[in-house]
Amino acid sequence: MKDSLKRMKQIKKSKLPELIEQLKKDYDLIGPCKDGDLVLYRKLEKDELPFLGFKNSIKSPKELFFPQTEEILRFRGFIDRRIPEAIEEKVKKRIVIGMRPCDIQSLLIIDKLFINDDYVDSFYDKLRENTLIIGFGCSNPASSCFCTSLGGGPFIAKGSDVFMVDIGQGYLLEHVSEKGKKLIEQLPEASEDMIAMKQDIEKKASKSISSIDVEAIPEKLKTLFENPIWEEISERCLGCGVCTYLCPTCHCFDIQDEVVDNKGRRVRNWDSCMFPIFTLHGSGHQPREFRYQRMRQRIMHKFNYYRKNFGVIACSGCGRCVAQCPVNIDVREVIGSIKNIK
Amino acid sequence: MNDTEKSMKRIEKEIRKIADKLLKDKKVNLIIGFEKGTLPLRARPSFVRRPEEVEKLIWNSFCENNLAVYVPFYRRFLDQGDRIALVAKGCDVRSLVLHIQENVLKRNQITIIGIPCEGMIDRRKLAREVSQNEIMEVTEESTSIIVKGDGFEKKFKRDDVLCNDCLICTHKKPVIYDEIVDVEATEKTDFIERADIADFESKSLEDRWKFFAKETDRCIRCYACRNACPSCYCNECFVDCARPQWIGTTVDDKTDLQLFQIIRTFHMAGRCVNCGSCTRACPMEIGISLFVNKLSGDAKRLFNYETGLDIEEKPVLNKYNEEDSNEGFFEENETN
Amino acid sequence: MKNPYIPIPIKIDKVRFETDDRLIKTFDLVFPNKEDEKEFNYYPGQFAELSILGKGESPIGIASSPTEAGFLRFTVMKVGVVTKALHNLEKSALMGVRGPFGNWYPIDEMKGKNVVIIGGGFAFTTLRSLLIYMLDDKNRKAYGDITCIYGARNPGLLCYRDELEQWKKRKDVSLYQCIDWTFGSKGPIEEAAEDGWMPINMKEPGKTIIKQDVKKFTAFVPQLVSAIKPESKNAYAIVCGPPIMIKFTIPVLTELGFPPDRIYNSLEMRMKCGIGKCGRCNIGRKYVCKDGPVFSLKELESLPKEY
Repeated sequence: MKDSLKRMKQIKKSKLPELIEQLKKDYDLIGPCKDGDLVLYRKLEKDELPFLGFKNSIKSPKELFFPQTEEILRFRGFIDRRIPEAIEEKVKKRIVIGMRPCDIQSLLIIDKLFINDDYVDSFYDKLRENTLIIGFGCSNPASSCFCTSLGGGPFIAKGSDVFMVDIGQGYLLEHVSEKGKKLIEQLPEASEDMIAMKQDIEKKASKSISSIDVEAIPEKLKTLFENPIWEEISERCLGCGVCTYLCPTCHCFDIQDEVVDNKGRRVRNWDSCMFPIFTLHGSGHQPREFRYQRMRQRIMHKFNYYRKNFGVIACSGCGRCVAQCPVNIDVREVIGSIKNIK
Repeated sequence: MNDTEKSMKRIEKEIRKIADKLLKDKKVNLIIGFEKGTLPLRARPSFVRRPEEVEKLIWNSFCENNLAVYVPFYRRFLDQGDRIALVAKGCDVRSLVLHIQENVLKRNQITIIGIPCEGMIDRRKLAREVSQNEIMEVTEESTSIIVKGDGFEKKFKRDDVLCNDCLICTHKKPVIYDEIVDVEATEKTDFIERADIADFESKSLEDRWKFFAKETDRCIRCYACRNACPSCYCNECFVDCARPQWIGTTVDDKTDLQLFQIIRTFHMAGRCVNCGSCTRACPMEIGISLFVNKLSGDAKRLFNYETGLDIEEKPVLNKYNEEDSNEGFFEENETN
Repeated sequence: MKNPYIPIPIKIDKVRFETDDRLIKTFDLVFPNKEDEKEFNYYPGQFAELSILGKGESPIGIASSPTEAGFLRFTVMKVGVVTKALHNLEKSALMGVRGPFGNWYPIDEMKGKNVVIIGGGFAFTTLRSLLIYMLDDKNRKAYGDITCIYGARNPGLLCYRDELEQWKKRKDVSLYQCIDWTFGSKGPIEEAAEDGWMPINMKEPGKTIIKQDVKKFTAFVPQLVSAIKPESKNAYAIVCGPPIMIKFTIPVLTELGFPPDRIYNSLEMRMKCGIGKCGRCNIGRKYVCKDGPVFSLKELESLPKEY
């Protein structure tokens, strides 16, 4: 208890703007902002505060580390004489404030793909290295959330540098990493009462989250490739890309060249395995022609293949796909159906 | 239970009765309707193949999807002799008429279970009113909606939270049907233009562009709008064509986004039935139906045409009449 | 840390048409920067992403062997945007390369064993790399008997014809070639499709009597394999070709006694990044660009039938 007291700082709500402006001095501060009815993560301008009265942003903050369009290189000249000009812009030091535990856990999940012993994705790596994360606990999870079933939780601080919790009159801030410690060093310590309040809120929040049983799913999926359940599950699917584009662990991309006159660039753009042309061969051969095949690929990849390759299920239970699917396909229901197959 | 809820329940019972009979008489192999969703307030498309399953069909003011969107998926089965029945609101039926006009569907391949509709509730309008709280329950009354959540309860006038497209709908009753649920729907007779469309049309060209650019700025190319729209059924959409590649998927430069939105809007000219599925499906809440419906308004104004009313009609851009309006064509003395 | 997405500059040194239909060209590429050449260490079976800035990239198997110093050889069919642009480039044009990617043929595992190389059409390209590697003076003694069976639709579509002539003369490799006979309404016919290309027993290829010095046949590749009956004991089979050829060759090899862990394939797949990150080329849990493209039949059988 004494140890956690030392790590736990507190700040009154009225004092938060001061801390925000202090952080902005040395870092670009990125936080949730209201844009009409939507909440999106973007850089906070001078005197702008993060909007913390939200459940979760519409797009996941994965785009801060893996942008939807990212320049790989630029070039100019005639086609038989072009050399790549690497993009030399320095990556600025940044802090992302107000990131939910599910989105933080998602970064840890896709870290394993982008940064490993085979190849390191330099773009992603640089952004990860230069970003500190102030996580934000979920006091009021949504009905579409299910993070607790995937090793997460509304107040899990793992992966953040500082973790923040709203306890009503103020915020509790806990340093999780050494870098995070420096950010909140000068703040007053939290009292035992405050910590008890946090624990109460945590308990209530965790209880309210829907749960699914994924324990035996990866093993079970191994046997289900030819099962007719995929056609059942995908009959409603429209084949759009909402689930993949809002998902914080989806990572598929396309590489394209763009040229105007004699100048151009190579970019990588998000792509979706739910689109029919994703696997279309140049020869015309199309391995995943039907929606059920692409749905099967998506579920297999997240709950089976990724686990086999990297040891974790590629889902953090953020619930965006559940909330935004135009026809209400619910991955929790899909997992339940798979569990119930004899 | 109040009167409106009783009426919803009655419609629900009717739908189940009709579905049950159609399946038992083997008139159809598949019924596409609505069932309860997994989140509060959601209804979602349902696929029923056996009489025992008809009990899951429901009806309420959240049965928002245009189920005609599934027709192109079943083309192969329909051509092989399978038969489908579809629960269809006024706008959904117009989509089916469009499909018949465009030869996606033959009239005898579909059994239309028509539902005169008093409009669908816009879940986003409701959410806006309760800021970041979540609505867990809703009660429908004849002119109002009551929502309940964790520690709050609020009442709204129905018209204040109806979908924009539903507010100006002039075809609540299905224009064709095989079965119809016998319920009244107060039809508006005059073609009304949406306030936001009128506002857009009052802008100068430059301001129109600024508005369009700002609205589509946040598009993420998820294609929810396209895939939710029953009129968008091309085997190869222009965005997917690789040889030649018309547009890319870049979003930092807005050219690709704007081209996608513009071209798709114009592909919809005279083919939109006002169902609002596009705007509803868009996760970024872009007002897509505003732009498409502006063109619907133009079709009405220039050619006195409304989409999907008569299966014998041809789509507006497929026919020509010497008396057609020449608006937009250069006159001899124009100095543009 | 090197950025794996940036192509390394490389220059076209030689270009020639490889096949008579002029759809396939062979490019010899040279690194302008000697450091890059030193770092590009590859093995037979690997591929590289050939990059043309402004057009895109194309994953192409490396046709040269690491024993051939000073250049990289690629044999490319004109199929899409990038390969079309590549075909339009001439000597001294500057382009880019990323790689080497993927795994390679089991050259270590095959030491001390006999090797049967079976190729069809222009898929022979990485098999050339393997053959030259094994035939190299430094390596030849490490391997047992080498048999090579290579077929195409007609003589003009065979690749590396000048080298095929040379290999025919060697004593340390048995080279058999074949060309297709297009079956007319009369069904399988035992006739030479062209002078010098002997017919085989079409109805029962396994019963064909192969005369001593006859090395060129009229047959489909799977049938020629049946006719030659390569010994499976202590041997590996490497098969590369169009899907239909592979489909009919595998059962022949299985019947001859080759077990699934000694039959190898090189798969083709739509790829983009080449390094297992973009998610496009997976079959089950394996990425063809990273865990392949070389797979044993045993491995393939454990993957979902999604190909």
